[in-house]
Amino acid sequence: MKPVRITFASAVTAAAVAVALGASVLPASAHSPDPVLAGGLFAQNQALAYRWGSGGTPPSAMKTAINGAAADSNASRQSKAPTFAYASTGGNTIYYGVDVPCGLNGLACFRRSAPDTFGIWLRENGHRYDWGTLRWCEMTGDPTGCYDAENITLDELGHVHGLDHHVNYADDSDYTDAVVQTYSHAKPKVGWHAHAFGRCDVATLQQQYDVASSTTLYSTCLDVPSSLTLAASTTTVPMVSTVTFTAKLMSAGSGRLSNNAITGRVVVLQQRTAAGWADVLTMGAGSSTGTYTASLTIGVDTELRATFRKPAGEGLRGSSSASVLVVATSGCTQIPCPRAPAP
Amino acid sequence: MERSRWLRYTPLAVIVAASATGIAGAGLAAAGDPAWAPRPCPATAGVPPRGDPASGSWFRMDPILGAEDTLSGQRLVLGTSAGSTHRLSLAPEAFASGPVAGLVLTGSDDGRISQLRLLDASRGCATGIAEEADVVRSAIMLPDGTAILEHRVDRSTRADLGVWRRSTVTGEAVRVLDPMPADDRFGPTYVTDLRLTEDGRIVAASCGERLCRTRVLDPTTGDVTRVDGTGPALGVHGKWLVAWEACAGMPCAVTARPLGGGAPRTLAAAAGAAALGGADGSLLVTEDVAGNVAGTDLDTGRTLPIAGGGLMPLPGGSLATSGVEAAPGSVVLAPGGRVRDGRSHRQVDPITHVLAETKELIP
Repeated sequence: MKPVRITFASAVTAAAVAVALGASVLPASAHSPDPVLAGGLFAQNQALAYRWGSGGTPPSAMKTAINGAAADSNASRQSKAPTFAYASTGGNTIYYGVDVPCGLNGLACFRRSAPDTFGIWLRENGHRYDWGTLRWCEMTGDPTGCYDAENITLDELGHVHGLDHHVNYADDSDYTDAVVQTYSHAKPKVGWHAHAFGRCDVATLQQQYDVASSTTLYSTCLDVPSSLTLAASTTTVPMVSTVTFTAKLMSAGSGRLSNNAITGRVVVLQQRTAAGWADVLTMGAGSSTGTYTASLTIGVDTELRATFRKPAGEGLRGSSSASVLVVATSGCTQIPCPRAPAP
Repeated sequence: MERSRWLRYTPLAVIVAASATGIAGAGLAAAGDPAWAPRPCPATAGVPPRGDPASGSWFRMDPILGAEDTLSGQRLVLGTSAGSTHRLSLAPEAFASGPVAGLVLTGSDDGRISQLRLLDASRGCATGIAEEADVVRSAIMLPDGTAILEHRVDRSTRADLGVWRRSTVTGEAVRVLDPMPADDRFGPTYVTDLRLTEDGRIVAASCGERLCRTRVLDPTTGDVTRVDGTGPALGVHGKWLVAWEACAGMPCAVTARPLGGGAPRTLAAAAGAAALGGADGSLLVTEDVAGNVAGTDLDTGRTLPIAGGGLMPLPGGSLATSGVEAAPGSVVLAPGGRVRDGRSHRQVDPITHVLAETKELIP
C-alpha cells in the first residue's frame, strides 16, 4: 500500500497506512484450552504463600478481594495447580499502588519465575488512562464502569499458574469460558465479576498440572479420549453360573492426562444381541481406583463389553472395551437345557 | 537466584517514605519542603526556550495516594547534578518528559484545561507553553526545542484526538497524526506513548490492555507506517520497529518487526526491562530475569554484559516516570529503572556501549 505523505509544515493530518497486522491479533482458534505461557510451571499442588508488597499494602477492601481471588483459584482449579494463601512471611508479593513496574498498559500485571516466585501488581484506584479513570468496584461502591479486583486478581493468579490469555470467538460469545482474558470487562459487561476459573482455564490447568483426583471432572473445554478394559472372573462356566466382570476406565489423552484412572462415572455392561449391543446393567464401583464391577448369571454363551458413554457435563470421550465372550458349558440344570439341540 | 531479582525492585512508595524521614539521598526534596512556585523564565521573542544542557537536569514523578488509597495527585521532583532540587504538586492527570537541553516538559490537567510548561531546574523558572482545552495526555519536546509533540484525548468522551505538533515559540498547534480509530480487536486505548528516533522520526504507540498499534511518522517525507499487534514500542532502528511482544506479564520477549510488514525477529527472549539507544537505535539494552543488564548491537548481533546489581534501563518515552539529561543515543540505567536523584544513575555510551559515570558524559 502506498504510504500517505504528510509534512509538519502543511498541517495536514494523515491516515496511517501500511499496516503490518501481527499474527497475534487475530484468534487462531477458539473454544480451546488457554494457551500456555513460556517459562515453566510450578510444582503440582505447590503451596505459594504471598505477602503484601513493601510500600504497597492494599487497602482493606482490596485485601479482601485479593484473598478472595486466592480462595477462588484454590476452589476452582480442579487440578493439581498450585494453591495460594496469604502469609506475612510469604515468599511472593502482591502489591497495590502507584509503582507498577511491568508495562504501561493494563490494570494489573505479574512477574513469574517458576518454580520459585511470583509477583502481582495492581494499579491504584484513580489511575488515569487514555480511556478514563480506573475505579476498582471494591473501593468505589460498585458503580457501573468499575473493575472487579477479585476477578482481575484471579486473572493474574491464572497467569502465575502459567495460563496465557484465552482465545475467544470474534464476537466474544465465549468470554465466560475463561477468566484469563486479554481484555478485562468492566461492570456490567459479561464476565466482569466471575470468581471462578472458566472451563477453558481449568482445561489448561488440568493439562499442565493433572486433574486433582480420579473423581475430578475433566473440563468440557477438553476432549480427552478414554479407554476401557473388561475382564471376566472366568470365561468358561457351567450354564447358569455367576460371573464377575471388572472394567477399568482410564484417560487416554496426552501428557498429564494419559493413563489416569477415572472413578465415579457411569459404566454399563452390555450384551451383544441380534439387534446390536444392549445394556444389561450399570456396573458398581470396584475395589480399586478406576474400576467398576458387576456380577451376571450366564446361562448361554454371551458376548459382553463395558461401555462408558460420553458424559454431557465433562470433556471425556466415550469408549467401549473389547468384548469378552463367556462360554457356558454343558451341565446345565435347566430343562430343557438351553444348549440342547431342538427336538 | 531468580528470586532475588524480583524482590530487589524497590517500590516507589518506599522512596517517598524514605524522603519524608530524611534518610534518602541528599538530592531528594523532603516531603515537608514547601512546594515550588517557579517564576517565569526570561524570554526572547521568536526564540525557543532554552535551558542549560550541562546542568545535569533530572526529574522524577511520584504519584500520591490520598487518604482513601486513591490517586490524589502527582509530585514532580526535579533537580540538577549540582544538587538544586525543586518539588511541584501536579494534578492526578499529569506527565513529565525530558529533560531536553536542560528543560523538563510537564503537563497537568485540572479537569478544565491542560497546562503545559517547560521547567528549568537550573535557573529555577518555568515557561508556559499552552493552556489546552482538550486533555493533553503526554508530550515530548524536539531536541532543538522548537516544538513539542502532544497526544490529546477529548475531555468529555476521552476519544483519541491524535498527535499534535505545537510550536514552543508561537504556541500554535497542528495535528500530525490522526486519531487512532476504535477497533474491538484492540479494545479501549489505555496509553499512547510518544518517542523520537535519532533521525527525527516520531513513534506513536497506541496501546490497549495488551496489544499496541504503533505508527511511525517520518516528518521529512510525511510517510506513516503502522505495525499492529506488538506490545509497547521501544523505538525504531532503520526499517525495523523494536518493541515488546504482546505479553501478559514479565518476563517478555523483545522483537524487531519490519516496518513494511514481515516476520518478526526475536532480539531478547525473556527480558524484564529494556531500552533502545545507540546510534540510530542500534543498541538494545535489556535486563534479564537474573537482573543482569546486557547490550546487543542490532547491526552485528553481538551482545555484551553491561551491568548488574539492580541497575535497570529507564523506559523513556512520553510516559516515563523519570528522566535525566543524557548524551544523544545513550541509555540511562538507574536502580529499579527510575532516576531518584542526580547521582545514582549511570549511562551506557552510545558508541562504545560501555557503562560510564554520569559526570563523564554530561557535556
